[in-house]
Amino acid sequence: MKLIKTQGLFHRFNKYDENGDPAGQIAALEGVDMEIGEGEFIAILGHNGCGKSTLAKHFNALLSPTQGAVYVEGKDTREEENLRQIRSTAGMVFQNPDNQMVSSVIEEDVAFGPENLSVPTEEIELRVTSCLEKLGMSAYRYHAPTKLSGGQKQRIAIAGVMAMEPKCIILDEATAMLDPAGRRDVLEAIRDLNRAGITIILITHYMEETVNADKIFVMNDGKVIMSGTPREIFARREELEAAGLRLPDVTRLGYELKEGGMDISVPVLSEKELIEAIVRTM
Amino acid sequence: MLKDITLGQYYPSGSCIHRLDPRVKLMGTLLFMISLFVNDTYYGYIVITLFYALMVALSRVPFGYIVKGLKPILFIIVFTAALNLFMTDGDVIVRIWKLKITVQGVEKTVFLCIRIILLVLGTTLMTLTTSPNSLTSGLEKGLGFLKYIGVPISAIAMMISIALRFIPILTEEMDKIMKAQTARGADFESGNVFKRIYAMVPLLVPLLISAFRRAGDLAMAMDARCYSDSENRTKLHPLRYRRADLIAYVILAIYMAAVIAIRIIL
Repeated sequence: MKLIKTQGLFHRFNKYDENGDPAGQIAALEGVDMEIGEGEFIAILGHNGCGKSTLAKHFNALLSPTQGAVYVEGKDTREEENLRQIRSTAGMVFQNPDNQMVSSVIEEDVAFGPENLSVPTEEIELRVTSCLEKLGMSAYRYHAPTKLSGGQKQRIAIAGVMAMEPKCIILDEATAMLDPAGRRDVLEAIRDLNRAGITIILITHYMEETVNADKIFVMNDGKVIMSGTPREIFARREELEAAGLRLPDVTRLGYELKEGGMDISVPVLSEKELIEAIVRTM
Repeated sequence: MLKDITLGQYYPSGSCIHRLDPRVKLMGTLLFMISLFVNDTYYGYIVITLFYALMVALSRVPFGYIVKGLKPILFIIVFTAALNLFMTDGDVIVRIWKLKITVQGVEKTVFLCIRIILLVLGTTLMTLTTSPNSLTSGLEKGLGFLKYIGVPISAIAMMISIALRFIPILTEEMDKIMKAQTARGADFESGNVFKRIYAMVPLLVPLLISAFRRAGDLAMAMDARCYSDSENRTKLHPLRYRRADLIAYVILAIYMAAVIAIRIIL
């Protein structure tokens, strides 16, 4: 059984005019079929407004399909009684680190999820300790979140989700508001979690963040337009650019060099790869 | 400019008073307030003041810090004093124009002022020794019986702790908006009080909008983490009475008995 499965998923938001009267609908998702297996590192890529965040909210049952269905571990997100199970299986980290922290003490914030799931006190204690440790934030246990940097706050948010012991973590543009150092920290943290067996769904519009994914889904106008490994996806340069995405600098440099007559196999995914390719031509 | 807003006035010194269960401190404060109204003699005040002094000494909060708590209510004290001083009938000591000061008036004034001052000092000591978070969980547990009559006490406690969480964030945001508007020529620092208050109005709209947006985001994040206001939530640090708390209750009982005894005997 796949961990997450969507079948012909449609989602429309109602639109209202200035008087609050219904004025048609906005189609956010138009027939998405997707399967995500356990332990995978998935990236969902798309420019702003392509429907990727809407899709993420369906994985967590925060939205209910207008048409079609989403199954998390075989459980239908439309059923009210499945919500708790689904949300503790697929945890979610949001974009703004400040707006997802509940408590003014770090440890209490990490404990919030397990508290909601009625986990016994001693067990919460253990989970908080181990999750903070996993994300390298133990030193901040008794601090206030206002004192932390964006990257640190996002790591706390991930720890808070981890404390619910999910099988899957969905990061809904969780790196968008971070500085480069914070972004690197968060990406490293989720790669570690993936190695430990947690399924990662990384939603982003930065292509360079998807290089290490097992599989990339590219979205545009509410549909999945491409899917494949990073190497397969990065090779479809024109289509990506048409979808409003920008290839990472290294990859573009690789293409330019090839066009300039150098014998390099494209696409190039990392600096290391590019250097090796250049060295080989010499 | 906005950095000096502190909420609550927690003064961490790690004393035995700080470590007491917040429910004990809430109950203690309540009993202290009741004792002030039970008491009707100056002898009673001696007992009450001694008790209070003992608590202050145990809390290791500098007394000067506590007295600061009186500043905001100075006006109320003066007003009450004046009212009682001039409005009480009895044996006249001084008569100025239509106002008269009587022996009874002076007595009543002194008595009331001591009462108000102790009242405020008592509650100040509680907020100084209890962090906002533990105060909230103390209220939640202490008033837990209210849920049987339909008061959503855990939801209220959650709201209070979220409010506390967002105060620094919104203050920072306010600072940012102010700077952005100052950069475009807004003036928050000249003119009289009314002008300055008026200048603040354009700040409130963006602040309010952003607060609503944050609230929406937070609600979704809480949903995603399975929050519901059911009673089945467990706690990382549940409140549990320890020996010190029981001893504190005994001390409180003895204190109350003493105050009541003084009232009956004298």
